[in-house]
Amino acid sequence: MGNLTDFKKGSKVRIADISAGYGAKRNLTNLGLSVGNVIEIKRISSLKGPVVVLLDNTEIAIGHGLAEKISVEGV
Amino acid sequence: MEFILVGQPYSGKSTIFNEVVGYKAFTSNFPGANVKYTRGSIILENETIDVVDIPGTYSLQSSDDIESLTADYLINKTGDFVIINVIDASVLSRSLEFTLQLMELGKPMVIALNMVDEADRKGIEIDVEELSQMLGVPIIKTVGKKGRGVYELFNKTYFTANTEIKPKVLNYPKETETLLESLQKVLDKQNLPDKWSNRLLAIKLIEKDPNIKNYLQDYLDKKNWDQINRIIKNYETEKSQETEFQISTVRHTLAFDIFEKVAVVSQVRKEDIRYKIDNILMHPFWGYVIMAAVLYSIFSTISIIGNFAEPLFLDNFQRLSDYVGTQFGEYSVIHSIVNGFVTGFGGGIGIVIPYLVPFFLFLSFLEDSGYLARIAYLIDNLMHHLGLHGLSVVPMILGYGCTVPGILATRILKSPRDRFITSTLTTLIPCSARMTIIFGIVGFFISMKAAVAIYVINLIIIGITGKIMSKAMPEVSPGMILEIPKYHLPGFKVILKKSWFRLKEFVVIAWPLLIAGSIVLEVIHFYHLSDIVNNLLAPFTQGVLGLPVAVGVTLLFGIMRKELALILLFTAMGTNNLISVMTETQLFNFTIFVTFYIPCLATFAALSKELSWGKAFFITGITTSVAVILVLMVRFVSFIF
Repeated sequence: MGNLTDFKKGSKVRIADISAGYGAKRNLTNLGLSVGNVIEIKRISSLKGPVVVLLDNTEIAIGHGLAEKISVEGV
Repeated sequence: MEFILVGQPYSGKSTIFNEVVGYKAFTSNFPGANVKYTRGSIILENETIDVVDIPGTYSLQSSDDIESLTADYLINKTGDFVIINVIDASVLSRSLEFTLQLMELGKPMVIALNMVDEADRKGIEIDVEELSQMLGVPIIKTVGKKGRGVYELFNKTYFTANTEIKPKVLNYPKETETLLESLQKVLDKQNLPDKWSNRLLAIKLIEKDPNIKNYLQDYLDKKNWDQINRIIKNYETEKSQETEFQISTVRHTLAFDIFEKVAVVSQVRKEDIRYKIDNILMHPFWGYVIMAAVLYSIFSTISIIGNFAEPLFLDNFQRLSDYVGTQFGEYSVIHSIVNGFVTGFGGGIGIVIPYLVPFFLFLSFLEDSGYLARIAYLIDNLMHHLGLHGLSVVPMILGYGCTVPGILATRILKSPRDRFITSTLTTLIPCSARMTIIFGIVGFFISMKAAVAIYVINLIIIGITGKIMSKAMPEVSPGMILEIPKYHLPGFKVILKKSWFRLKEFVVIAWPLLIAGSIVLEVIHFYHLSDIVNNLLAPFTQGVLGLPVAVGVTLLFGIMRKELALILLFTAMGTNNLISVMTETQLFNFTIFVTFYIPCLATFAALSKELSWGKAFFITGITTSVAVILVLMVRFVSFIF
């Protein structure tokens, strides 16, 4: 358990909870990033840059602040 | 009859549109919003068909402004039309989530399974026949970039339109269906017009679509609403999650199930070439080095082309205007008018051809190749301090070359708020014309340090403005969520068409303004109205800014094109040695004022086109106030010391 930024590159995680605002939550959901879905962490940038995750063959960059609000568990 | 191209971003939708409609397309606005979509017409079987290309969207269930416009457009669309859902075959599972939503609309529909060549390369084999059977939607394989399958697609769409084949209604898991049924029961009892099926309405109710709720307001009474709300609330309590998020999880699962049934993914080579490229281009150190190199080379290529081509055009127009002079007599009002026309027209060409053409080509290339998203990734952190996201850096960097392309580039930003703030900041950035003034006046007559100081002051102002604006307009969805698309070598034809399209839009607005403005100024000049204008402006120029009265007209000309302020300052002051007639403070203030004050006409036109007239005036207000405040501060400081 932890948030997206706590995991290492290459780990596969399941989204457990999204504690972001309603708008952000909907935008994430539209890209398939909803609770229960499994994603792979592709890239974590230094300097508090975005986290890149892989879902259904698609890479999605999520701003660092937002990534911190996504709780995930390792699978 | 209309064909509407709908798809997720990067599905290759616009490529297909361009292939079919080409340069004859034009843009329209969504009603009541400054969001554009493209349309054009084709002839099939002797029938004229409107083809509409609406902005790419991930979902019909959205909170984002542009996306919700797209959703509204599709849901409310009436009349004879067929939806062409363009799907990137290499991300089939995700694309199907959106397809499921489109199918729920219950309108005739065709799927363009695009980029099948890429899917092949990725080892994804799709049973098209099976998929088509499952969805009840005709499917045509296409490779839009090569034009493959596109004509079959349009023929099939035409056929579908005439046979009225509608997509199948797919079943969700039992509990979702039960929820939908109980909502439908409430709706069934009402006498609703058959604009939408009650199933669709029930789905939109659990998606909490505000527009559908609004629509139903006219037909449902309080008792009905209580019932609906109770059903939804109960379900949410049971599942401890809002229904609008649940439905998308359910769709995700359904889409994945369909994908599993129709697609076979053979073992692919482990590391895709794309990751190797990204490991360099998105590297925490080399990524920035390469980004700087790429942007710098684009920037310098544009200025090399521009600097080479601009005089060529301007010289010819000068000759033309001289010729006009000999025809009408050097000093006649007609000569002034014609001259103004020629100057404005030539000025338009002088900007458009040398700077905008290469710029649009580069921008379209950066965008279509996928590199723009990498830039956004790299710079996101920095831009957050301004309350913006990574992508906003692109217009701002371009702004150092020319503000106009910078403003036009804000179109890559999704939210109107980000576009507004970024446009404002881009307008504040000194473009190359203003750079000439900064170095030509302050750098030359005062010192290089003073010239650099103006750039530093400028950055501080941008920082403050960004902070204030982003505080005043909080984001709907803070934090970047951006697809990093795969790399893709854009077709030359597509880039040309895209650039031509952007160019055409600019020309229509900016050119007439430049021409009209030039004529007015030439006439002022002809009737020797300069002194009158100068005297009218004197309370401001002399009183507030502390500048010589003679600069009045130069400031007016500077609005036409910023560098004119420099050229005309020499004429107005009657000498090239400005320091002999103006103090250092005056020169510094003149430069500061010209750097910030009213954006040039072309910029203003771009602002009003991309945002609105009101916002363009608002930004002008900001920049002019900043200019005045800065000048007053400099005067105050120099008065003390």
